[in-house]
Amino acid sequence: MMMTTLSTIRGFWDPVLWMAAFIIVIVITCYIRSLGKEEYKRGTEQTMVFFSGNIPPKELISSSNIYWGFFKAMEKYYTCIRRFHTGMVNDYVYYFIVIVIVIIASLIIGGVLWM
Amino acid sequence: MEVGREMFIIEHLPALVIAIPLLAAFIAPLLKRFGKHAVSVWSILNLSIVECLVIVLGYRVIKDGIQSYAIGASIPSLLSPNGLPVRIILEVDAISSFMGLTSISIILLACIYSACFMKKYKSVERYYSLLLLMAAGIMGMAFTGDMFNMFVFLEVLSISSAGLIAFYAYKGEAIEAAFKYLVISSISALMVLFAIALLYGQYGLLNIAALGAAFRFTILDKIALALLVSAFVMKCGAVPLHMWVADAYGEAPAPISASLVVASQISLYALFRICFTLFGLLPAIQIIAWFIILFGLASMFVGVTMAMPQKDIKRLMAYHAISQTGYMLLGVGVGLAVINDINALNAFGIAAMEGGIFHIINHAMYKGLLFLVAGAIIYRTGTKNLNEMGGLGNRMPITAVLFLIGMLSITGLPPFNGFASKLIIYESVFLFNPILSVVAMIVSILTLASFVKVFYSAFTGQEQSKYKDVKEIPAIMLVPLLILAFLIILFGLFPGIILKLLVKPAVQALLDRAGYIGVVV
Amino acid sequence: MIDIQFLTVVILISVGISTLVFKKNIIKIVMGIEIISSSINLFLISLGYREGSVAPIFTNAPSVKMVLPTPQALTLTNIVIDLAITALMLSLAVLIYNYYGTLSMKKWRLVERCS
Repeated sequence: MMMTTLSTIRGFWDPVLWMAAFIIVIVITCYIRSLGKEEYKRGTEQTMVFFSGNIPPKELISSSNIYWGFFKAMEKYYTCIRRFHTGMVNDYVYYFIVIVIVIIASLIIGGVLWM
Repeated sequence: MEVGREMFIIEHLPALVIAIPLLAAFIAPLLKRFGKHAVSVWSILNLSIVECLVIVLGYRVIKDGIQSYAIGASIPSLLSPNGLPVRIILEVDAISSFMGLTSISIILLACIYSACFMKKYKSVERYYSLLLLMAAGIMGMAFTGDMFNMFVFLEVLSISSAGLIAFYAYKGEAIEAAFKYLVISSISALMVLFAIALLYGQYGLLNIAALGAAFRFTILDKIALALLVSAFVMKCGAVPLHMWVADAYGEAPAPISASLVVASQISLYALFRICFTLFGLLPAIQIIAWFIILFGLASMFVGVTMAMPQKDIKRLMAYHAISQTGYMLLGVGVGLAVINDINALNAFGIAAMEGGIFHIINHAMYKGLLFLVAGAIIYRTGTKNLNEMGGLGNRMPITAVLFLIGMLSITGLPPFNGFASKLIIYESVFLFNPILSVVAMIVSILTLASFVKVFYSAFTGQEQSKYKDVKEIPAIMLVPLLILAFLIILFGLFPGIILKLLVKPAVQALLDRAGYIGVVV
Repeated sequence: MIDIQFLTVVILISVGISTLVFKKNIIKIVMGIEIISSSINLFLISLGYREGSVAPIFTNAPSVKMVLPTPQALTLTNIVIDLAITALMLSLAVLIYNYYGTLSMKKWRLVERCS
């Protein structure tokens, strides 16, 4: 047990203890799941895929449609940051020069202020 | 004589580690006449020899202290004949051998993978030659103790990587990505050379240890520091200078993407060497530390939010590489910010740096695994677009399990190695400032979200009719994936031992400025 | 006042960087990198100059003042590296022109193909 322990600042982490707890929880969960439920009828409307009340389409639902709620909520952030990524090398060099000037300015001003 | 040959190898170890890939790179094109597989066998052989030498060198560093080597001297330990360091000096301490070990392992596994992945292309001897040159460049940057030598190996690394990114020359996108990568790399390298020229003009020294001892901290030194930090931050791929990463990693062949991750991390090592050893006593280093923390924070968040809407599987993983680089910058930046405060350093500073440096080797392993699995999917199905794949889990079961291991590792779920390093980073950064830790945890959750999207599109879901005769990938391609998965599980099960053996000496060596300088001066 | 060589270095670096930021033709971008590299070569050589000294090419050296030879070695290395970069960039430019049909940076960028 001592070999697998990692001691952090305020405690410790041990993967073997975690896996033991995980296996116990999984066994209990599988036992409860195997007890079954009386209202479950296979093959009726109960077991069909839920598609917000519509009929599920036959072709593949592509993965671009996942998380559409997240993208809709963060639309302002995404338009702003997509404008940032133009793809031209000229803008990359421009950002580099801006960062160099910002770091030089803060180093000189910081050195003067703390002196 | 037996004893004489062993002593020769052990005496000249740091130089052999750089010289063997360099020589092998130039011999590789000549071996094409010996058959189809001669070149790949030759490069795998050489990289294995270099890996064994790096392990021996690391063992000697931990046992005997910092190793040094003067190139071209009559005795390799003749560093400063008349009190002044002459010749190019290679200086190997614990963090150099840590970075060297990480890099050569991933490049060796990528080379074994590409023995089968690259079989169908005609000009494959040029690929292996450039890959060996890239390995020589990375080893040179890891082990050198001289500023101008670091610049030369940085350029060797950039030029050979650009040639490898443009490997698919029949597609226009790969050439465009290689052009942008080459412009960015040459701008960074020229700014590094400008800073080296500024430092040389003032002090007349090129050696890192000698410069660290001779600093007077004028305004020109601060300009040199700003140029060096910006140039190496651009080469690591941290926001806001990260735009080349998505193009370059996305268009390169899959084993080269895994090697480019290692190349970016060696620029991270160069940044740490400059901030800790060279400019460690500058009073204004706190400002640079706050810049590194801000860059790390921005990289984590922007990387993962730009990764979520991507449709191309390798571009998505490239944005995740940016995000994980943010974790390393955050951890070591917190350590740099408290470097002058002994109490804070012992309370959480050293732990934050341990988390950051442990994350480097974890990231190289699981990101290498993920890129190689993406390459396997592209090899069998021929498409990179996530919208077109579907239901490959039944056809490629072993690949799906390996992808699952990589995915659980990168999101930081127990019991894999990603959780161990992220736990150390969360705890120690929380004691510095709680907001940073909160952002890091949110980014972890978003990482899980985007990788669930990849797992859903590639391996589960409806099965496409055009993929009904897709088989499992060949055994040679499975071997490096299995080795990486085994190492991930091993590092996850024994995090305490790995931390004590590999990471703690590295962090002590990075903070031990006087020891590094005392070898030469 | 500042010596003429350091002033030339500053002017050349600004010219090179403004070429990289504002010009869209990739041949001009390659030229911009060339200009920056040449200015850094000039900076390196002019660091070693001492007033009234001779070139250090002697077999039996007399006791006169000589210029520093180390920056000249650094400059030679940089010239060779720059040659390799320019050759690689121009061959990539030829391949780009063959594929896309245009040399302007605006027309062919790997824009973010997000949903």
